[in-house]
Amino acid sequence: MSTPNPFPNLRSDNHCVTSPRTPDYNCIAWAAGETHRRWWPIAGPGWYWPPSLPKVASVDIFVEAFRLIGYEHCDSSEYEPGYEKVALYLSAGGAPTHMARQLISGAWTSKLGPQQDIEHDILGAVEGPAYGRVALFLKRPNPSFNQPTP
Amino acid sequence: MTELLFRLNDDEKRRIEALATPTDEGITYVDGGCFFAQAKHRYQKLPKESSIFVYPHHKGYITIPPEGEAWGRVPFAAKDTFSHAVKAAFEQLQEPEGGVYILADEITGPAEWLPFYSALQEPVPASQLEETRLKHEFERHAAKWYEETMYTSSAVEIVLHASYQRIIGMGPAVLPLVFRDLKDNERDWFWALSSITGKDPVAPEDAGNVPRMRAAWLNWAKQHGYI
Repeated sequence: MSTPNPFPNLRSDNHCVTSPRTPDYNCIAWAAGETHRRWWPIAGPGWYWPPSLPKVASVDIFVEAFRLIGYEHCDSSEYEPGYEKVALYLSAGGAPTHMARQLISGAWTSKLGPQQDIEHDILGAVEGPAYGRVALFLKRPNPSFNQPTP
Repeated sequence: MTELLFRLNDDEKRRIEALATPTDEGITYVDGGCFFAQAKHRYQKLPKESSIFVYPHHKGYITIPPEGEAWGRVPFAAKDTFSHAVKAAFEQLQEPEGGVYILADEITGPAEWLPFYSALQEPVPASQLEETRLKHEFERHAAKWYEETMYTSSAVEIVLHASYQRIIGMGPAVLPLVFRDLKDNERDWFWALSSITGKDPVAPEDAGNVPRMRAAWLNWAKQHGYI
């Protein structure tokens, strides 16, 4: 039995690899701007999670974790000058699976588990069996994101 | 009737199937146990090691061929056919001085298995058999786990994967293999190590810091004689 393509929307013309493979951080850490540890809310050894939050992998807890670093809900993934955005992906069952972070260019960057970072034009590029679908967006003020809409 | 399975690619499968003695009864699986014999061989086109799984009637160790793999088959239905098939297979696969390893908890097959035993070289000690069996199982489960979680960030998906849990279930005996893989391949065994040993040598402030967690566990492994 063959394994389904985890990223059926990922094509050579809509993404590029931007880092070597490394298990040192994961997509949540990368979305939060960290590369020295991996994040996940699990009650056990091996992952970092903000100590003030429950280690429960729910949407609310993920949102709370990003509130701690300045993010708040927003309605869309559209580039907004002055704001940095992240997107949360959910499985078909509603469980958080992945996060992507918007770049100043308006494109998105994702860390693929313990593999490489990629830059992808659209959030849908990494939708599919591996990460499900993008479900919500968060933003925080960031003065460096002050260029006009790309 | 019992079936002899060779873990081979398509070319190898065709070659080995040519050895099979046709029977009118077809091929039938017999559950309940197996021998796992690993034989070196002399064919250039074959891999350096081929795995031979034999499923007799006994209470030995059970293993399942991984999905998607091609298996050569030598069917046999009667004592003479069985003996002929096994001997012919080993004559083709085994180097004259090549090692053959039987992995089985109990070698208590029916009478028709006796020719099989005589076709094998001297069995290796039980401790080595167990070590080889464990290594085979660890590598098989580790490969499957890694392949199926290689793009995953979800800790739950990683540590609750069936193969990862199976490795945890192997208990302390698997620790040398886990530590070697942690050192050589830098795969994610932190949860498994904590589950098996009941320990966590990682400083709280280093949670999630993979290089520091790896260093802490490898240091622990040295202190406890695992590496």
